[in-house]
Amino acid sequence: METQKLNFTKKLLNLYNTNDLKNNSIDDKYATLKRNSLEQFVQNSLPTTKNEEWKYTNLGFLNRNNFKIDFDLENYDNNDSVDFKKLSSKIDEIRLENSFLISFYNGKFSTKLSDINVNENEIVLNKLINDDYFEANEFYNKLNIDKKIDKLETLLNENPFLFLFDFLPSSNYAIEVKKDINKLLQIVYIYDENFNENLTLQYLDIKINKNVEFEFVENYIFNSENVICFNKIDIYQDRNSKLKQTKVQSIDNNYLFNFETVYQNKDSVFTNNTVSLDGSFIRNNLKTVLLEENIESNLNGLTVVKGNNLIDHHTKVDHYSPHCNSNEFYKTILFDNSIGVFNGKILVRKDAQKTNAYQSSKNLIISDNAKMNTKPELEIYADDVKCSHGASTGQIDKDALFYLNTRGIDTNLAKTMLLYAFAEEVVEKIGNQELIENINVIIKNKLNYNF
Amino acid sequence: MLKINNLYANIDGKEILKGLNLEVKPGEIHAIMGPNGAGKSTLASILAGKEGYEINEGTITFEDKDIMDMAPEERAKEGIFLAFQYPVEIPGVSNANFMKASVNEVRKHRNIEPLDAIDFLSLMKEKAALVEIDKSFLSRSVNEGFSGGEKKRNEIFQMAMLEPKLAILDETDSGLDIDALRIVSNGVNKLRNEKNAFLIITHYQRLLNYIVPDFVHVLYDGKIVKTGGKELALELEEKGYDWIKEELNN
Repeated sequence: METQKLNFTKKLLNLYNTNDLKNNSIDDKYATLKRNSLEQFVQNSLPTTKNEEWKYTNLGFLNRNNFKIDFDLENYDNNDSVDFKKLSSKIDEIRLENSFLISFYNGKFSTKLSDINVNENEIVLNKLINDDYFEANEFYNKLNIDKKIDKLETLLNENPFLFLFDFLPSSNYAIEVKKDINKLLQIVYIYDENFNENLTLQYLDIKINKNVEFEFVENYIFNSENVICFNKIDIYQDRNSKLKQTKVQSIDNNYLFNFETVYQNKDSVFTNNTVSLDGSFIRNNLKTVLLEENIESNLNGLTVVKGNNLIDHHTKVDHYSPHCNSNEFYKTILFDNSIGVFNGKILVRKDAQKTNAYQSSKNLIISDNAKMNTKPELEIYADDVKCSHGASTGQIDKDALFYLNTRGIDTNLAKTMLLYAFAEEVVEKIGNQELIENINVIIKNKLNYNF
Repeated sequence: MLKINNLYANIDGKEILKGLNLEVKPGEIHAIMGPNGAGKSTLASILAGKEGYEINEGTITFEDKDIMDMAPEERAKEGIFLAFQYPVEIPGVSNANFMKASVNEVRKHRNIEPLDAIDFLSLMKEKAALVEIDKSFLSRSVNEGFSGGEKKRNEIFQMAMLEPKLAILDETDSGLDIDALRIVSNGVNKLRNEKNAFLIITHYQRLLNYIVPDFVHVLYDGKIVKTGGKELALELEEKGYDWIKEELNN
């Protein structure tokens, strides 16, 4: 029996050492890298609130919670004890018209729960096995022109969790979109009670080819408790491509880390809508890198957080070249004792003249005990640019409330109407009406609150 | 219908109403005129149930009920309507959804069935026509991007939708051009009947050419100092409020 409480790193190391996975990689090309990553992660403790990037975000739950890791690389499709019918119907509830579907069940890709009837000329889905993941990483690392930064040190300081993807089992897939497809891609991550307390990792490498217009939606269905989920996504947008991504994160009593980086080339447009509708803990890192000229990058976020939950958005928009536009529009509604974080970095490098970069963080606090931390960080090295940032945190407009009261609408209903209106300003940017309606059902549910 | 008896009210420690008396019966139109700072808007706010006012003395009775402790939404359901002087903008809440919630809340209070979507739409179109509002306005957010005249017409539209017993118009004519004035007044005149009553708060006599009052009261220094018929308004226009001041000093 253990007499001392093990922290996250020690628990992780124990699980790793009692497993055969590490032995499989002794001969491979990246064995040293994996070992280094493991050692680096183990030697450095979890980021504390003294770390700037985690200043408002307490990671204590990682040390306190019990968790397990499934080292078996086989997916569940041949597992007879899984009720695929039940899972399928849950997915059907949120399935969008005119879409094709990729599902991950309990962290692993499931053919049974997916519906991909697409042409190889249009879109290719590949599993990244063995060292494919590291090769994908190398591709993206090369795009990081900034060689002044000591990458290792940065990672350790900013996001040591990225090392986990090097040595822990992770479900890794690559998607390449070659042509316009008149369907959107729906990616569903579904977890059930069989997966309680599991720690799981997933990686997606998405490439959008030249001139292609594409939309995808990520839905999380957490019918589980205390799952700790690490999702990493790298996206490469070739010239003149248009990409729209909507993430719907309603995760209940689970924990989600989401690390996404999008590299955009000339004339491309990227729009991300991140809708976080409560969960024990959500940390979203979203970075867009505007490599060339005439790029547009739009980051929209709506967050509703309740109870003792914490939802943290860290964004970074990196302008390398002239004539690019970026827009960030984030709104948060906080109830009870919840905590919200928005940290929006904008970097305008010295050649990025005629940059237009805007950022807005608007927040409504419903209870006296909720807390919103919002911080813009603008680093501007070019001299002919337009950049602005605005943050406002307040309570429901009393005049608007009174106005509704004088029309016979009681305070509870009036507050709900005003909060819903506040939220919809972000939601309507999503575009797809069916998706908007699905999201609104969750929002209305979260806001039906006893003030 | 409305009885205000010896009302004393403060805000932020400053006494605004100093013994105000007023009685309004069904079928009547009362105009309240007075110089700035006399307490006209304070009276309107207090009747609507706005927070922040300290009532030190006096009573307000509506249809024999003491409404002093009633929340604004209760007063609205009882049949009191305030047309604001500066209607607030509510981005993201459409005029249609706003009215739907409002009308159905009032109907619920009166134990009437809520309106379904179709009946509601035709009701809205009917009332919108009264103030010459285009039906496209229904999907717009409440007062967002509206001109002064449009905001005031929206107030009258809402009044038409809710059919209140007592409607208080707080300086509805301020900022209106002749055309908007005509439309707003037409709307009010079409809504009046022997069962409802109107309290028209105004600084200028002009509106009263269009909405002819039964009684004109002068509110000065926190109370009603003079009451007359519609001719009183013309007299005030001619002689100004200083005339009232002089009369009181003598």
